[in-house]
Amino acid sequence: MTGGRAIRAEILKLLSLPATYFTLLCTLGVSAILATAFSRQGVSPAGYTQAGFIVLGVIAATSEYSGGQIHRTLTAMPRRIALHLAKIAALLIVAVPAAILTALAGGPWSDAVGTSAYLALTTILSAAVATVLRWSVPAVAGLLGYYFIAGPLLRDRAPFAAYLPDAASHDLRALGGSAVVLGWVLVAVGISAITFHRRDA
Amino acid sequence: MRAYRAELRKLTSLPSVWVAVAVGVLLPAALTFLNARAASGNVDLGFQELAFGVVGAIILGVVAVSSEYTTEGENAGGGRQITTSLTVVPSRRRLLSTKLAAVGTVVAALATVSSTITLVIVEAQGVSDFGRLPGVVLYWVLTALLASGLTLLARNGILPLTVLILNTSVVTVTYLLAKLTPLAVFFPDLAGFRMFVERVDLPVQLAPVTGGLVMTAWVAALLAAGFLVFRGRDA
Repeated sequence: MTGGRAIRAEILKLLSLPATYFTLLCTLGVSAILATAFSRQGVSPAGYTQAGFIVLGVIAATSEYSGGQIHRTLTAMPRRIALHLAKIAALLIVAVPAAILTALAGGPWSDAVGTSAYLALTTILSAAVATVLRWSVPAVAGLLGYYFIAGPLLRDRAPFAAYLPDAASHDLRALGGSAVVLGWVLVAVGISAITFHRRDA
Repeated sequence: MRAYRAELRKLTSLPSVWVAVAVGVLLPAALTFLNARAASGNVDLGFQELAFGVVGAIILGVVAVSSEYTTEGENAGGGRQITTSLTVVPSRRRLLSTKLAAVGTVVAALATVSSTITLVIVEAQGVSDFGRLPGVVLYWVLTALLASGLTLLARNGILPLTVLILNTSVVTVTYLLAKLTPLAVFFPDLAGFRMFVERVDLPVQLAPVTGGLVMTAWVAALLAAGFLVFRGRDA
């Protein structure tokens, strides 16, 4: 099975999940509504819509573990590192257009590049974390708890918070923030690939 | 009584519940400790932090129901624990009421412990108002039941977790909505805050009892809807 076919299979899997469409439509809708409602208050909806992309990443990773689909997947594609990277690539192929759409629907167009890069990278980071955890509810609770409760609270108190993966979310114009997220994504995907490779499915 | 004990045992055997308990105790205590130095004369010190700590109660309320339907993990029995539960306790009314009673008991204990620890930390800095502690406990219990009700309607934990955790963030969605319409003060979380937070920057002021009643009405309506759906559908 070549890399291209593995990626195509992963895209098929992702696009055949009703949850994928539900998540993306909700995210896009909420983003547009918040942008319209709070255009005068200067609230950027990207801070809230990242929740949808976090959930998308978690769903993409944990859907393998409901009902033992992972066993079928590994039978068809035994090379685990390649499989994991194909899944990440497929997720990117789905998340990037969605992130661009959401960024355009939700904010000033000048920030669209930074916003969409941040949202797509956050999706991948969430998928990596969920791959390590294997359960969707703990993954969603942990990630959202970090991004919406712990992260913002740390931001006001700790100087090192500028180097955490959510630092870019409130200053999307700074591409330095996206570089920080990219670093975290590379580390997280490295860890999740090694975990996935070494662990019994 | 035996069904209730069984529900308690189910709850306490879930790892997620113990994580939720740890979060519910540690988060408000740590935050209060950090905020205590900078907050001289803040009448709500400790109570605002306990409003964040409610995330522990949310996770607990969600997991209590979603664990019956989860399909992940090595030995989740294909995600059909609900079938086993209904085989043993065929009355859905009894199953749901004992489950909610167990959630209420555990969250009430968690909230009491957590707010006592937090308020003792506040006490070390100045004077704290232990009279508002029942308000915190009631708020946490109602929030957990709200989370359980939403999860029962959705039959999975992701959606309720997303909605409720987003709404525990530093700037909640409901607070933003309150800037658009004064009606938003009747959302369950904003109404429930009144039971223990004194200074609320919102367009309409509600008395603590009114706020508590508004939140109780929301929770009752949601649980009633959840029960009707649960009774009417195939598990």
